[in-house]
Amino acid sequence: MRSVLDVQDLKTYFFTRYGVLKALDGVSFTLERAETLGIAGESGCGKSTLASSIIRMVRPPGRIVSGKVFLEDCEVTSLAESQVNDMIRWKKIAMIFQGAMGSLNPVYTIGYQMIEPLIYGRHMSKSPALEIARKQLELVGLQSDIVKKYPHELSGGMQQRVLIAMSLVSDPALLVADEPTTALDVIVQAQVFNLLKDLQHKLGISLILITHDLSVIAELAQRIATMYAGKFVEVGPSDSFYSNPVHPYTEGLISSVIRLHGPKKAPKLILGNPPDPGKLPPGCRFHPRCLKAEALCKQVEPELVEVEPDHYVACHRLAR
Amino acid sequence: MQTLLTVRDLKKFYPVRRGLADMVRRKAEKHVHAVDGVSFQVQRGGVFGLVGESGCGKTTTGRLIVRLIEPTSGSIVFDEKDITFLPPGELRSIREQMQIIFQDPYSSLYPRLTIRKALEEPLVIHNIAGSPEQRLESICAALEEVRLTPPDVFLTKYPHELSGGQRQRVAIARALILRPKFIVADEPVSMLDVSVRAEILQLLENIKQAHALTYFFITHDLSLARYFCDRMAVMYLGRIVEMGTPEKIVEAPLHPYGQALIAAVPEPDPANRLKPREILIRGEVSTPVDLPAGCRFHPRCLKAQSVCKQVDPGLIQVKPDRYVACHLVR
Repeated sequence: MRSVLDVQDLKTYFFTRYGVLKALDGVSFTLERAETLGIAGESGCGKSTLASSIIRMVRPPGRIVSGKVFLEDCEVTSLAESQVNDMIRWKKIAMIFQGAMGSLNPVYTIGYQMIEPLIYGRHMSKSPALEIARKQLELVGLQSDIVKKYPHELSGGMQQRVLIAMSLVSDPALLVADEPTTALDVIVQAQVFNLLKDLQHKLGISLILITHDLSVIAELAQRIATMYAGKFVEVGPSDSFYSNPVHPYTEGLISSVIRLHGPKKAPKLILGNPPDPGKLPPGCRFHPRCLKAEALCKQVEPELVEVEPDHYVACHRLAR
Repeated sequence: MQTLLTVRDLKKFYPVRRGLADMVRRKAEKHVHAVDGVSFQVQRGGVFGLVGESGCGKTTTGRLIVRLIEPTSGSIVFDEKDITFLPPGELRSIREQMQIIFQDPYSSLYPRLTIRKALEEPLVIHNIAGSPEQRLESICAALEEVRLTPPDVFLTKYPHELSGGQRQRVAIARALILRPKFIVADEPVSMLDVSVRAEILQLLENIKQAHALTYFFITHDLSLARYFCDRMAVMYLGRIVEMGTPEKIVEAPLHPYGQALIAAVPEPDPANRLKPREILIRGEVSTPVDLPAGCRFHPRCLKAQSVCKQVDPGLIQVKPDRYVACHLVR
C-alpha cells in the first residue's frame, strides 16, 4: 500500500523582479498513516512554502516548478485547480494555520463557517451538516452550542480548537499544522497538544507539524526533519534526533533551546543569518555558518545519506 | 545588595465604556483591573523576571514602572525617589536613568528615521553630548557596543533594511545611549528566531555586566525566566501569586497556578509524545472586569476550598525569599 503522503523532489520557486527565490528546493519524504512528521527550521527556511505546496496553495509569483506530491493514490501536483478544490483541499488534506484569531471570519458564526465545506463541497443540506459540526466540536472538547457564537466570543484556545474541529469535518487523511500554537499561552498549548495526540490516536490521522520550536515538536512527532534554505538537511526518528543529532545545523538548533529543568546552560548560538533564497551559496548551503566547514563543503552540495536506519543527513563530514 | 526599585500596592484600572442607557440607569462604572495591587522590590544589579500568560498585566506593570502610563494608585520608589506621580517635567530626568526595550523590533523603531536619527533623538531630547560630532561619537560607540559593526554602515540605514535581530540591537542601543541604570525589557526576544535569541540574550548579559545595569525582564517563557533572571514573580489576573528565586519556583512551585504553568511547559524530550500533558487547571481565565470573589484563581483551581471563595489571600512570605498568595500554603 502507498504511504498517505509521498513527496518527491518538490521545488517551489518565487519569480520576483529581484530574481528567482528558491524557497523550496528539492524536498522528498513520505508519511505513513497516523504518523507525525515535525518540520523544524528558522523563519524563511521554506517550511510554510512546503505546507502550501502540498495543499497546492502557492500564490503567484510563486510556482511549483518540479517534483510530485502523491496523496494516497492521487497525484496532487498534476491535478487541475478545480480538481484540487473538488477532491483534495479540506477533503483529504486540511490545514491549521498560525494565529487562530486571524483564520476565522469575524462576521459569520462558528457553525456557518464549519458547515461551509460540507455544503459546498459535499452538497449536504444545512441541518445534517450542522449535526456533524456539533459532533466535531464535542470531539475537540467544546460545547456544541458554540455553533451559534461568533469568533470574538471565544478565547484564543477555543478558537484554535474550533479550527481543529473545522479541519476534521470532512474526515481528512492528512492534517498540516503550521505553527498551530505559536500565539497561544503554555497551558492552552498543552491542551491543544493533548487534543491532537488524542485525535490522532482515535482517528488515525497523519500530521505534519511545522514549527520553529524544537521543544514543541518533541511533544508530538515520531519523525523530525530539519529544514535549511529550502532543503531537508536531516530527517530522523525523534529519539535519535534529540540524543544524537548529526547535522551541525540540527545540533545548533537543539542547543539553542533553553530548557526549563536540568542544569542551567547558556543557549548556543548559530552565527550569521540564513542565506538569501535568491543568492544561495555554492556547495553546502549551511557552510558559511558552519563551524566545521571544510574545503569540500564550499564546492559540492551534500546529498541526504542514511546514517542509521531511517535517519538521513546531508553533510560531507559523514562520507568519511 | 541595595534596592533600586520598590513598588508598593501598584494599581492600574481602566474604565469600561458605558452606553448612554447604562449611565441613565446609573449603573456603576466598571473597571478593567489590569494591575491590581502588586508589590515587589528590584535589587541593584539584579534581573527581576515577571512571568505570566497574556493578559495577566505584566506589560502594564512594566509600563507603569517607567511611567509610560499613569498609575491609578500605589507607589513606585526608584533610586530613593518617589516617582509615582512625578509631573512630566521632572519625569525627563528619571527617564534618563530608566529605559525600556519593547517586544516587537518591527514596530518599536520609526520607519522614517535612519538608525543615526533614531539614536540621536534621545541625546537631543535629553541635551546630552552637545555638539553634533560628540553625538555621532556616542552613536557609533553605542552601535559598536551592540555589535552592529562597522557603525558607519548602519548609520544611514532605515529599519526596513535590517533583520529582526539587528533591529532589536538598534532598540537596545537606543535604550543604552543615555547610560541608564535600569532597563525594562518587555519580551525582548520572543519575536526572534531561536538562533538570534541566543545572541540577543548574550548581548543583554554583556551590557549588563559592562554598565552595572539592573533589568526588569518581562516574559511569558518560564524556561527563559529561569535562565536569565535571579528573582522571579508569577502574575495572574493583575496580581503576583508567587515570588522567589526562579530555581526554587521551577523545581517546586507552591501556588497551584505556578504548578499548572510549569507542568505545561514543553521540553525537547521525545518521550513526551507518548503521554498526554497533565493539565492542572480548569476553565478559562476570568475577565479582569468582574473579578471572582476571594482568591481570583479559585474558579480554575483544582484544590479550591470554601475559604478560597470568600477570602482573598494576600501575598505572604512562607519561606526565606519565597512569597505565595494561596490559602493552602501557609
